[in-house]
Amino acid sequence: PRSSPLLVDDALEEDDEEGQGRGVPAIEREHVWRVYDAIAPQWHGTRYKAWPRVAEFARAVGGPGSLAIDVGCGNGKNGFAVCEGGALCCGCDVSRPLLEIARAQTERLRAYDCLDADAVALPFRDATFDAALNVAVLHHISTPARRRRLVAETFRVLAPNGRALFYAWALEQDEFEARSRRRFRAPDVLVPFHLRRHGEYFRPDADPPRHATLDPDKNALVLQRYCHVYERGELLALVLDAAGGPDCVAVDAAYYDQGNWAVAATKLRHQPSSHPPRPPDRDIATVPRDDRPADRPRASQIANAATTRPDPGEAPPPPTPQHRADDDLRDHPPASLLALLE
Amino acid sequence: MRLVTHNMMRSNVKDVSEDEGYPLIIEASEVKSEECEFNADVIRRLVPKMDYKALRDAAEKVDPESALPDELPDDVVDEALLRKLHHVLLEIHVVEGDLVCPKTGRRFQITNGIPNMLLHEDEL
Repeated sequence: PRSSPLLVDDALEEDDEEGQGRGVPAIEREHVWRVYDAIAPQWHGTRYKAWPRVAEFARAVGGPGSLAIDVGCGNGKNGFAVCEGGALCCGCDVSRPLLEIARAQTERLRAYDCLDADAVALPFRDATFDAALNVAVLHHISTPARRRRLVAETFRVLAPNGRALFYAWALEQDEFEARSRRRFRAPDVLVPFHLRRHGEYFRPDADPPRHATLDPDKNALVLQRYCHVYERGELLALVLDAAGGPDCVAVDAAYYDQGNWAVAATKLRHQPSSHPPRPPDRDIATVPRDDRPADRPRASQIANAATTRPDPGEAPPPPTPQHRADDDLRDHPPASLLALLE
Repeated sequence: MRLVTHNMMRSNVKDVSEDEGYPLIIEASEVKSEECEFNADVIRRLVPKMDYKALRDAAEKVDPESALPDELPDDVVDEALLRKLHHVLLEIHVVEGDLVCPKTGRRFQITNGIPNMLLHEDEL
């Protein structure tokens, strides 16, 4: 296996409990926040184009004077489609290095502002935006409670009749990707990213996360991104639940696109409370450690992405062609990721 | 950070209500003005979504010469006024400074035009 599960166990154990689960879990700090900070220039270099269906949504919601928020904006690539028709956009992300890139990229847009902000605690008033993008964020969130809070926050800042688009990685890659006959073995995985130690994106002074290992053959650091992959229906159920149920939200579309499950929805009405609905806090201190249920991923669930699922009667697929020189994944977990683990 | 964005923001510190946390107080150390293309339609549609008093107060603070009127008509059609609003909403950038929570006094730093609104553990 390319990565060690031991470190992940450590990361899980450090989870903040005094904060009643409100703090950022250690696994996200180390395997999402710190990873994106380290890989920002190289990641941006391979992802400058918005996905067509995301851009299509962005254009549809982005009329003149429309207010849009891009939750988890990364390098700001969705901003162009949003602002094309005269909309204004706030791009929020936790990664300052990515935001600096977004700022430079979006400078020529009439009104794109960047904010260093956590999607579970958006610094915006209720019912403010006409549109929200929430693309490729939810698969980096490690507990069901945090996912609910994050989606609820996105809905909170939407005005009634505001529209949201959610994208998150799909478990069932094999059903849709022609090249892939596999699926992830577990819903919570670590996905490698090869950070090149040479070339145009390399920053010698950058401080990589402590879990990074060296791949001497590729002259790259191997970083591990934490991902929760969504099974069919899971994202839809999450959106309905977190938005407050069918009285509060209308689902406009639910589909598969580029390795993601996607949900487009319209907020019907604003819930009166000014804070997102908080799930009942578990009394963590009194529950024996081993009995704690699914609110955090167990170490046993954290696994490298799956290898071949036995498919009786079918010839095994040919080995995936040469692993790409840059990132292992692009924006979706395709077959090439799985090939790394053989 | 443009004033249009500031107008939508509020303190996200826990136990600070919608009203208590708005508007954030701007303490700017560096402000710049950058021209961008004026579109009357955009500004006309945008203005009713703004909290005008907060906008006027913020403009007075960071661009004292902006001289916005005390009140706005329900539908702004006068081009000169639209252009003034365009300037205040979209062309003024707070590059460095702080946003201050009106209830707790918590300071959020703006660096290179990007406010840092990440909360500490005890503020979540």
